[in-house]
Amino acid sequence: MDVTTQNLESGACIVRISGRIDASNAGQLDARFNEVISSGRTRLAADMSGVVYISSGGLRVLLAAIKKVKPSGGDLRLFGLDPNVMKILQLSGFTKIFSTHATEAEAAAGL
Amino acid sequence: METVYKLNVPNRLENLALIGEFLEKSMKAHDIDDCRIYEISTAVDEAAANVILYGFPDGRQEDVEIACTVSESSITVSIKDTGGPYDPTSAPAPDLSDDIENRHVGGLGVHFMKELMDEIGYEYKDNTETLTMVKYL
Repeated sequence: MDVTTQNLESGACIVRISGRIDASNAGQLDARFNEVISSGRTRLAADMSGVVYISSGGLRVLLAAIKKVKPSGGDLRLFGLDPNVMKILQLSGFTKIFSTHATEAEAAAGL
Repeated sequence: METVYKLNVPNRLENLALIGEFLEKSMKAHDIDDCRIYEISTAVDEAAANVILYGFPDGRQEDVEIACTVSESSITVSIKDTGGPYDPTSAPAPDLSDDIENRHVGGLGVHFMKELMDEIGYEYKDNTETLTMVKYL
């Protein structure tokens, strides 16, 4: 799994994730989100276009992140989801919690 | 006619990817579609992660055996180990609410197993637990 971040002029931050997110590396993803949020960036969009698999451990990390940013008016939006990954989000009810978008432009609009 | 593939891996989380690769390779050899491969691999990954994370609180290093049986009508994956016992079929239903503040993630792995597979069976015998999951074709 690889994670990179890109700060936008608007103050939002794109978190680009690729590869497989499972119980072996979910902690690393959690640490990266915590770094970003601790730096003051709470308007986030996660680029999931490179994510080939996400387990319940990975979903736990996403939930923890949105719980941290929402109270201060922030958000965590998801974009570029593979259909299989989207199915897992739907199965877990997470599409009711996270807004999902096809493109970065859509996800970042108004963020 | 059925074909059985087996894999033994040490009970370490880094081997979850290996299990996924093994399943994909086994099923692709029989032209199983990508969607089914993904669903089965997800269910097995969740089950195997539970075994590795929670099945050996004493820190024992043991092998976990994954068997994938492909027939014309179904795919059966079993996970056998000397950890546990933990019967995921008796786990409570997860919280699927959209209440961000109070939402918890517990139980999602078992939920995926139950939703993505058609049958789940669990047996604990002679200090060995075997979880068997079946997907009909």
